[in-house]
Amino acid sequence: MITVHIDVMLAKRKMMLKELSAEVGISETNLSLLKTGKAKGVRFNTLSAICEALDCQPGDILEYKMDNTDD
Amino acid sequence: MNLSRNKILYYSDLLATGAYYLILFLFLVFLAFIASGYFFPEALAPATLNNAFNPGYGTVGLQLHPGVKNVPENVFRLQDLNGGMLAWMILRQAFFVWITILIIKRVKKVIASVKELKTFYQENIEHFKQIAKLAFIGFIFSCFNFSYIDGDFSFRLKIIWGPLILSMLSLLLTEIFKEGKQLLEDKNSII
Repeated sequence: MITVHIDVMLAKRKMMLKELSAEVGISETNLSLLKTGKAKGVRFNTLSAICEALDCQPGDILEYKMDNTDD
Repeated sequence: MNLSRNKILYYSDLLATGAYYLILFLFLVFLAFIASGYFFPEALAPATLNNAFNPGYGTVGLQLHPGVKNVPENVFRLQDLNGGMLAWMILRQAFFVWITILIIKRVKKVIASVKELKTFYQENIEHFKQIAKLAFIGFIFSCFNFSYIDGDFSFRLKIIWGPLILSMLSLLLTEIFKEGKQLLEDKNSII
């Protein structure tokens, strides 16, 4: 599964979600959905804008973790 | 989106509205004609019914033959019908008018939803499901008919494809709109 670390990057950059929202041009609601992993996907241009605003790479925001489900 | 800019939708809406009022008007004229026979029995004398007791989606094939005394076989003279058969014919007609009007109302709601940019929404799925149900009920009732005139009982059965095809197409549209709704939800959940 993919986990999103926007909150970690926001803390590193000492930035509020509201500021990121204003800079990226995406509503706080949608950013919250992304942050909590409730969004089904993220567009390249959204990712690009977030990376630009947080001065980071996509890998700093997204991480793939193996599912540990016992079938 | 301006509905008038989309000509197909605009004319479909116009056609649906026209059909709605035309069907109501024709049914009222038909009822008025039958009712006139109560006061002026001679008014019904030249009227024949070609399809009144055949299976079909509501058409009775009312024709006026002024001056003709002998009518062909299997064609009923309106004035020869007893009260029960007259009631059955009117009820059957009213039933098909009612079904058709309900279908047209649903179609108009679907057109209005497209106007409001709410095409792939749950309401439209429900509308198409209801149209499919109504058309199927219409199909069942259109497949049979009977007559009991002068002690002669006759029951007729025939498959009427029109309402069945409408029902199947509406069911197909229900599934297409379900798929569309799912795709829209997926699209909206991508940020």
